[in-house]
Amino acid sequence: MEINSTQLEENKEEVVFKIKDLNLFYSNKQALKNINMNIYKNKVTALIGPSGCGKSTFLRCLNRMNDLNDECKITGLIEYEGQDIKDMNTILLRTKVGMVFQQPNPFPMSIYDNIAYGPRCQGLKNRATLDEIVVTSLKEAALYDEVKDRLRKSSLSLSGGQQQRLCIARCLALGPDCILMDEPTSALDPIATSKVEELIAELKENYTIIIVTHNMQQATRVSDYTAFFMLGDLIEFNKTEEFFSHPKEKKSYDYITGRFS
Amino acid sequence: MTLKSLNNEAIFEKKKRFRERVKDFFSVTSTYIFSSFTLIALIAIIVFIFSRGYSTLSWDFITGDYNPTTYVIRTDTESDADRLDNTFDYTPREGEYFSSLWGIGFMDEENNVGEKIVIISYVDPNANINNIVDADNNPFTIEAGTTVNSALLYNDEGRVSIRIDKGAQEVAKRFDECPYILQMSLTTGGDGIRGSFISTLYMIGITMVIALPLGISAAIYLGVYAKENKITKMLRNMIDMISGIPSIIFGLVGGIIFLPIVGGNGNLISGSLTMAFMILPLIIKTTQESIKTIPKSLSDASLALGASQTQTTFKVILPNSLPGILTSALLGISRVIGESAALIYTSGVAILDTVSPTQGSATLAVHIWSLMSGETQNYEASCAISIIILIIILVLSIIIKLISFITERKKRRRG
Repeated sequence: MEINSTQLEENKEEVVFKIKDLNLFYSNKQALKNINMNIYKNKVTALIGPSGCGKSTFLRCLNRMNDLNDECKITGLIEYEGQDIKDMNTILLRTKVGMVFQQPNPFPMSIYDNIAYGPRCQGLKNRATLDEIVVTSLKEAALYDEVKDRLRKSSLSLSGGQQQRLCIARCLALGPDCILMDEPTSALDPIATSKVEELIAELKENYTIIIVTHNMQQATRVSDYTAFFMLGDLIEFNKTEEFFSHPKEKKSYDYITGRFS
Repeated sequence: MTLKSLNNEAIFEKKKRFRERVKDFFSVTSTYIFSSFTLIALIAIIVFIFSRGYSTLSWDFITGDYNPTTYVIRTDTESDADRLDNTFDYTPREGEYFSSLWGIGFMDEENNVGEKIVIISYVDPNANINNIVDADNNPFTIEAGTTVNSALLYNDEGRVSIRIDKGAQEVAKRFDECPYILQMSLTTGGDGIRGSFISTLYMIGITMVIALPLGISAAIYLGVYAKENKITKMLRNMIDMISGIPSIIFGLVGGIIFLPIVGGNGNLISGSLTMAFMILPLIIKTTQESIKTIPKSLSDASLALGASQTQTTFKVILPNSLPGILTSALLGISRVIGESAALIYTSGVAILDTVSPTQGSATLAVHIWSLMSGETQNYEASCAISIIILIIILVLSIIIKLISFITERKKRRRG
């Protein structure tokens, strides 16, 4: 990973996540091998690569969702704003680093309760504050105009794209700094996808976003940085423009040009 | 190939097809026959139970006392109310004998154990009973349906003892001869199931209060927190095994463990404890199954939103497994209603009218056992109780079906 470290030194951007020598094992299988990379503040970082390459696993390391799996063992260092996440309170970490999943997974409650869920879990009970958080989060997720008349209706009555934006709003309600998105548009139709992509572009101003995607066009459209994973290795990490126009590694070139299945 | 051989082949094909059709016919018919046996059994149960029990079933049967009340009454000679001197007109029904002097009709009947008895079958609205008092000198009103145990009347010539065993005709004749009652023993009510019904309700209530919290927390532990290892695997297998243990063994163990604690021959609490341990595996399993069906993405979402595992359990997992918990509770209730073997040793077989949890009393199913275990069996009352039990269980299973239907529909809408 010589190339990466030299690249990183050139960047003067503020680093949110610093990942050093990250290895991850599922029982006996190694899923991530010596990952070294930085995630920069208020940028969109896309993680691409073939299925099973470890990009989702890597994403789940960042808010310690892999802790839930007993068979999963992690070595190496992940620093969030200069702090080792192993020493951080998971709950605090997860309020700072939100996550949006592949399938829209709103809770079977009202739209309002879905968004108020996170703040309520943190012990917030004041109604006026909750109301305000719900409205601002929905506005930020560009969903407010569509649902403002039916905040008390079940979240399951929304369409798939609306549900996914609701999940993003739910995540924003906690006031995170960073949002992890695990293939957020793979279950959506093209129109809903473009809406979510627009939203990502807007959110970039205030949030650091890390997005896993299968779709390389999507990576070029939305991201500033791209990391290419293969079989648990981080092959290349670079600015998106450079990565897609002048890939430095042969494997990256092959993947971009479609020579890998 | 000649035309003939082709023809032969066609005939062979036809034969083969015919043979297959016959085979099909037999397999289909036998399937229908054997599966209709279950239907026949169900119909037989319903027809038998309803035909024997329907006539006994009434509101009085459900709300009445089991133990009959006996009154001793007499004519109050010191009272101001005078005997009315009129006679009554009434055309007796078939088998009924009317005392026109008193305005009371008598009838021969058989009681539950087949003995001949005489009951008062008709009381004229103006009958000569306005100066009759009971043993405490309180005015007493005779009601139709009362059994006459014994009667000692008197008239101007002296005492007249009535022999009940000679039948209603004799009784009516004697009553017509005598204007005064010296002493008469009457029995009203009896054979009702109110006490057993209330003890069943107590039993359900206490059992659920014990079993639901234990069962749900065990299911949450096994379904959410427990790590997959040898001990939890053994626990799960053991829970499956317990649900196969015959209930009478639970009754024996309950008798050994709980009777010394509550003392005596057991009471509703010791019975409920036994039942609670019996239905615990059922509740754990049903709840655990419904926890398993909750999509992992929901609990993941909750955890990713900074909720603790406890918050996730109470805000996401429990509300979503509520249909399963309800179903398990209803299944448990129907087990409690239908259970007799485990309760005979732990909560007693005494049929009481005033029930309290600290006393041993029979539930509906044990009531049936008590009725049928004596020297003479009372099929009518047993079948009537069975009808009640069957109806309750039918209603419970309809509710369970409804719950699963609604949750299925919700799930489909989500998917």
